[in-house]
Amino acid sequence: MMHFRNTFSLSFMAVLCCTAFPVGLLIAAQPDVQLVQPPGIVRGVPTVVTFRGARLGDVKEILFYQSGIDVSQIEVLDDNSFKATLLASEDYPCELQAFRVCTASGLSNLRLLGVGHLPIVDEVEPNSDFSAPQLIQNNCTIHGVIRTEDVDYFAVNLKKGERLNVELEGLRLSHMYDFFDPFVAILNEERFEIARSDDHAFVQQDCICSVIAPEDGRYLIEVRDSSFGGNDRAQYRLHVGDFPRPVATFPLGGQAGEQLTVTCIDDLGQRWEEQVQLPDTVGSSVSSYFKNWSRAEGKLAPSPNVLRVSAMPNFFESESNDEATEGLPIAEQLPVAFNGILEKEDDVDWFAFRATKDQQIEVRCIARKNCRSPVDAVIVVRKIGGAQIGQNDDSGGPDAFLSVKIPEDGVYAVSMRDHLGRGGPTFVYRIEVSTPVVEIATSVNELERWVAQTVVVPQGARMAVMANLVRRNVGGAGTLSIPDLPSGTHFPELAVAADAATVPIMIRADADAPIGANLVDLQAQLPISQDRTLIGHFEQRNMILRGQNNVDVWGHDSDRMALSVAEAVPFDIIVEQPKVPIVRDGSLTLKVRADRKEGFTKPIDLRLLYAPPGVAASASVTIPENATEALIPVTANGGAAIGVWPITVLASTDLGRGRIQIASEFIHLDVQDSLFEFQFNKAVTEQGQPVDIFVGAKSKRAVEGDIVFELHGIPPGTNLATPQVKWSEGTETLTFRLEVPTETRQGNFKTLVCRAIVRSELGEILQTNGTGEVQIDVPLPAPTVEVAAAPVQAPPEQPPAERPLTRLEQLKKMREAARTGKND
Amino acid sequence: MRRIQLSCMMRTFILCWLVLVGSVANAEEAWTSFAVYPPTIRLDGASDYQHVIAVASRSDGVTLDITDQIAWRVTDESKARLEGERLIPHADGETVLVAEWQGMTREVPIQVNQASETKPVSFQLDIMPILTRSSCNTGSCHGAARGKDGFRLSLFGFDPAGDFQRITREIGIRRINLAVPEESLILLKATGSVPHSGGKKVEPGSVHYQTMLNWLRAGAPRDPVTPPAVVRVDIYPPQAVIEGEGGTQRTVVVATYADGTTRDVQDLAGFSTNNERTAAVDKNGLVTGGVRGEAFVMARFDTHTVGLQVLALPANLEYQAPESIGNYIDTFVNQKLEKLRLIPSSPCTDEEFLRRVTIDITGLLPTEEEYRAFVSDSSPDKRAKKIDALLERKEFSEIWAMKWAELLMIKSSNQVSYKAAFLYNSWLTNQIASNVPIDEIVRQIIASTGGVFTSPETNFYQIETDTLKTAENVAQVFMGIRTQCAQCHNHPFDRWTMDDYYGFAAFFSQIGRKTGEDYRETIVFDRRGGEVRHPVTGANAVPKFLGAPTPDIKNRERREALAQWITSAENPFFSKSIANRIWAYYMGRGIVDPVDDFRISNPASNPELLDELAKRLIDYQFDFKKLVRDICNSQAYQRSAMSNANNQSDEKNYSHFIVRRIPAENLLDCISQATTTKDKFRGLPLGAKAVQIADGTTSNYFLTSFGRSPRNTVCANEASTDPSLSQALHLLNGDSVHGKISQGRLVATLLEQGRSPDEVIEQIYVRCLSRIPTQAEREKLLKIAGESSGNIQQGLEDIFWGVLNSREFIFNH
Repeated sequence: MMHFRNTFSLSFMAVLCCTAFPVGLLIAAQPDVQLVQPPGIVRGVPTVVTFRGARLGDVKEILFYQSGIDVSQIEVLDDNSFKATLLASEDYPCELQAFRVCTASGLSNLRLLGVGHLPIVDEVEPNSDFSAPQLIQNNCTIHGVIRTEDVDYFAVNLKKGERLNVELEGLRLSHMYDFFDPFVAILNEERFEIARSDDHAFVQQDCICSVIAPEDGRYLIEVRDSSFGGNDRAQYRLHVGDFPRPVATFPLGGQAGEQLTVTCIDDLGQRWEEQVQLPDTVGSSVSSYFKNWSRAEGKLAPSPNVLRVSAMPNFFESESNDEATEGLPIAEQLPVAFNGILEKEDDVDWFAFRATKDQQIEVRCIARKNCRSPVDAVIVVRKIGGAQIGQNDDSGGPDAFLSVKIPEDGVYAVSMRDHLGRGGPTFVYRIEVSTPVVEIATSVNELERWVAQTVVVPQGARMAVMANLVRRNVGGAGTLSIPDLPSGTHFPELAVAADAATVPIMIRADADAPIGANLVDLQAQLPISQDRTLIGHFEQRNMILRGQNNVDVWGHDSDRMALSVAEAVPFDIIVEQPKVPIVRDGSLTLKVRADRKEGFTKPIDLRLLYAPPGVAASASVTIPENATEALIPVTANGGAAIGVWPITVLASTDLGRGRIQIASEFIHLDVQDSLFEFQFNKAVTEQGQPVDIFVGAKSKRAVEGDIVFELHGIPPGTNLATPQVKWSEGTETLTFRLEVPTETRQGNFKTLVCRAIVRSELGEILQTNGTGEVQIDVPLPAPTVEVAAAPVQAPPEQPPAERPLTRLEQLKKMREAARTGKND
Repeated sequence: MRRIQLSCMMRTFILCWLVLVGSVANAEEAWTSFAVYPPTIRLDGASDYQHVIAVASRSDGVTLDITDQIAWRVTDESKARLEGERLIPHADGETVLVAEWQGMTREVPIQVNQASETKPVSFQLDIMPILTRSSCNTGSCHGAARGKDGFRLSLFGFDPAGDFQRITREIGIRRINLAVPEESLILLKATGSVPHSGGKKVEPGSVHYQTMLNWLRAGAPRDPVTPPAVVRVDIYPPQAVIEGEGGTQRTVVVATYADGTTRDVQDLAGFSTNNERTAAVDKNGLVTGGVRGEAFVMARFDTHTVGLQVLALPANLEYQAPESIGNYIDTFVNQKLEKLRLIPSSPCTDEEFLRRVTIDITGLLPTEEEYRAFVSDSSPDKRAKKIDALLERKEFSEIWAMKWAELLMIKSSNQVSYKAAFLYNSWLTNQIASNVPIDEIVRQIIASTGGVFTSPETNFYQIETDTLKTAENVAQVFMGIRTQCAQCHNHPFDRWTMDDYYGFAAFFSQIGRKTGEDYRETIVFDRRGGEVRHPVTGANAVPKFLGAPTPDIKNRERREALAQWITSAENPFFSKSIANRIWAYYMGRGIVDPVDDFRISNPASNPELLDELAKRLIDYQFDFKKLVRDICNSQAYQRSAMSNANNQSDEKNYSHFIVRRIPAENLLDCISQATTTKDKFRGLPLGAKAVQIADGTTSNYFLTSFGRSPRNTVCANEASTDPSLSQALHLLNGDSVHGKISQGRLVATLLEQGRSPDEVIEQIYVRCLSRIPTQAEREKLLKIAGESSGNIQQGLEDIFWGVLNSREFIFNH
């Protein structure tokens, strides 16, 4: 078995992230969950849930990203659907929970399942008429579907002063391109709209509505698509009740380990305080958040509020901070987290901090992206009494981010305003001012564009993906490892050199590894001093809902990678290790062999996991049905990255449940510099006249083996009298005699290429360069000057030509001949 | 025959017309007054002059050029003297021109300044007008973008500095010859002395020739200081009523400059007419009357165009004006008809009225119940009550929401999501349905900021993102002004200059757009920076309202300032434009037509009426429903569509109702209503009406064939009601009529209910045509129905098909 060197020193590796592969051959036909019915469950209540989609018949388990859901009684309904009984623990977090279905042949797409604590009521059609709504009790979760142009009405009876909160999950339950954009309104019996919600910032494009009943009576909740769209998969979960529904908390975060008193603010501007115990540890700058489920009067919010957890102390806005003036309270130490609310329209809040010359400062706004504040933040940094040194609107996603260098010691101020000058009681924000955070993380590249990568390793086989070691404000060599691999799978710790960012990783499964899936952390370690090693964890964005041009509309940020062991495949794939290098401007053919099990005859598609920079390989090579071999042509351009690269071939086939893929063992691809420098001269001839093509050839370095040169790309109809020229020491010019029959088409042919072939016992090294040029003219008409007939004389003896004449010399000679009337 | 009751001497002809009621033309009418033009005279410099004319007016409004009949004198001839009809300065001071005619006397004050000073020839004041008058700088000559035969001038002279440069400096100054000025190429070409593609433009020895020669003799100087701009141009008389073909009227065109001086520009102005047959005008401004009608004679000087209304009447026309009844609209309409001696058609029948007003206000046909109730109602104010009832219906606001949606180009595209278009349309419909005044809606649109979902009015700036086009659209949609020409040169037929154009565009130069968190949402905001560059001067344009002084907008959001101005009383265009659009919809033709082309060279057919409608709209606080009520209650609206022998040729003065094809959406809704069928459009429930379609890209074959607005531009004529072969073929062969008849099963249902064929035919007529069939029709149709191979239902459905294919159904009349 071949092993690659387990250290990479590949300075070009970073560019590999961009390497895109044709989609056609990729694994788009995994198990696919398209519909989950019902779309949610109540914690503590066993619920039978049906999963529909494609290739789900060999289901093994459901892999929830949050543990605590017991899956039992899995019953396969047909090849494309199954049902299972789900039971979430009593303390299971209420929100949309991500899961994948693990089958014997693979892992499904990531979907969400709602988990709540309110009893579920199913929508009962017909309920599309305002005058005949579906009557419900307060405090429940409704499961419904908005079909094309459907409108659903639900009626609830309220006493005067009673609170009615409505929260809807709709867009966030959608999948792929099933764009369901919900709209909710609360109306009184006279059809007067008391509250409406189309896109509420707190719940992405979903809806939240709150009213305090102005009178005793019946109130109607209207649900529809905001532009009367809808489809059979446009499911929604509508939480209706008097539960607390803060849409903002102030402050938006705190210091790790802190017991934080937060003010909860709901859509009606009502406020109450809650105590929140923040976790002791701080995550990475992109993932350090904590979820808090608001609890008031014994009732629980149906979904959490997100709070930022960081190492920095909180600093709150002062009474009058509308201008960057001397009187502002100053944060003397960095880092610091400023917290405030844009209370009114056109509000601008300023915060002061002390900084020193040449200090690099990062100003990170926390508002919309994770904490779902309505603020569209715009920040400005200026020296108090001095000039502005930076401004930003959207660099942190919808939030603002700014990195500035402090020009001189002094007091600086950062301001916050809403981009449209909006304000209100829920316009909370947090600004973290710190020196650059030193951290690392890991991720894997997608093999299929837009689809978050999972790893499925068939028993007894291998699978490889490209992994990234992401360094933020730090450099150096590190290692990658997977601490919690499923049993029977293997991934030895892999060193990543200081100049490498992206490396192939291969996971192997034993033949008897149990079939099943795990969520694993791809962990990175990077020592930055003798006593401090950075630890980085896996980060992955799973796009669930895509818009036009595959815009990421809604998705899930995972901290673990799904890895499963699948049933063994009836073949293995072996790539023959080439014994010769591939040189720049050269080519090589990889020989791939399929080891087919008895009875398996299907074609196998091949592609490289990646190719080194400047190297290209065909991505449409197939081992035909029943055949066992195929060749993958590989070429290197003149700038190919020199080095020894571990290469693996991915082989895929359809075994009846979609495509399954395995990787070959690594081989080395040795990319070396080119062997020769070629120089091409233009050759000119006439139809019917042979011509010598001269190609200058200079050896750049010694190489073992017999060397011959071939000329290719000659004009149609011509032949080479000397198809090959052998190389001998001291040769500087290669001469190829080109026979040009009279019927050859005239023209200027810039198609000539010269190929060097180095043959040895190890194989052939090929280098091909171009391009030479040959011009074929129509012969001139015979000269009109009559020349007196001369007796035929024997041609004078010519001294033997010492060397072939150059084109210029030929022309000179011809001119001389024409002038003197002689012609040789 | 009634004698005219003339109250008193009118100050102007217009006022004179307003009080004339039931006038009768008579050659024996007395010449009751005369006027001398210009009303004041100012002479500056030794070479200045001013010619004068005198116009007499008869009690019936007819005017006569009596310049030759006047006994003229100047009270103090030491100050100025008359040479023919020209006043020539003598010495500084003031005097009076006295005109006497038939015992009447008129006096015109004269002021003479700098009488001894001979002003040098100015390139901009003297040479440029000659080039313009001689058509040198038109688009077909040297004003073309690449010039002509190697010589380019700015189109209509929008760039005097550039023109000076090209005449005096280009091609090694070969266009001028300062050593022998008479041999200057520019003179030789202009006089045709050397081959010139444009031929002879200036007569050798003429005043223009001499002016150019003097300028060349003076060394072709650049103007030492920028000359004062022309601030206004007046043409006199203000109105002419020429009786009898061949009658003539002289004119006087006077330019007033920013420094207060005036100038007789009669021989520098260009003259044109919009109706050659009624009033021809020669290059000297002499108007000759023609066939009966109305014309506008335009004089253009500098960037100004001014118009003179000319009415031509046959001599000795026998005419008796009918008594004017109705509301204020009828007063103005009838006054105009009287001016033209037109007799209006008789009022329409109740049946015609009901169908007409129901289609116009609701876009639907009257139901059978409505028909029967209305016809049997004997109360005298039933028409007014019907109008009130119809105006309260939701369909009224839906039609206007659709019309505005067309102008605002509401439709989805790669840039505009369906949701954005839908929300924009919903917003618009809600605004109109909840009676939000039009000015408020327009203010909201123009000053809008925010996301296109949360503030749907911002879609206005998402649908069109080009700054210049946005400015053009605002001018055209909300003020009826087309400024497009002025992007590249001063408007040739209107007052708008490039300065106006870029000054107006500057209001939109600071619009910022960014993608919201929802990628489909664009957020429109004020960037607080950004300018529009004037392409000629290269300077940043200063925000300036159209036709108004430069406002002080420091510390104000530009679009907010503009929104305030556009909808304010100071803006003369907004209320007129809106009133005209409303009028045009109900009357079939705008007072200014096309409705979005207000310009001096396209004058209103009844300016007094338009002014009054605009004033009422302001008084109604832009609640346009009230204006619709006035219009529909007018006799002018309720006239028969049948013309009489007198008004057959009239298409502009509302002497009879103008027949028009029902617009595409309304026609489809009417067919669906008549056949009791439902349509299905994207994003709307089954049975929704075509007028409710939110997205301009949603259409079907019927709507497209019948000219549904594609909403590509803001032009009012995008929605077409022109007939076409494909429309006729679609109605005859397509599934819209035939399919709906069988789908709706109206005939079958009626027969199942036990109705007789005669009753079914009557019901078809009432449903579709809002009338019962005549006896002759009944007999003929019953025969046809009976002949259809024994299948009476088939026969009746064929009749139904025939009615739906009839012109009487397709047209509103």
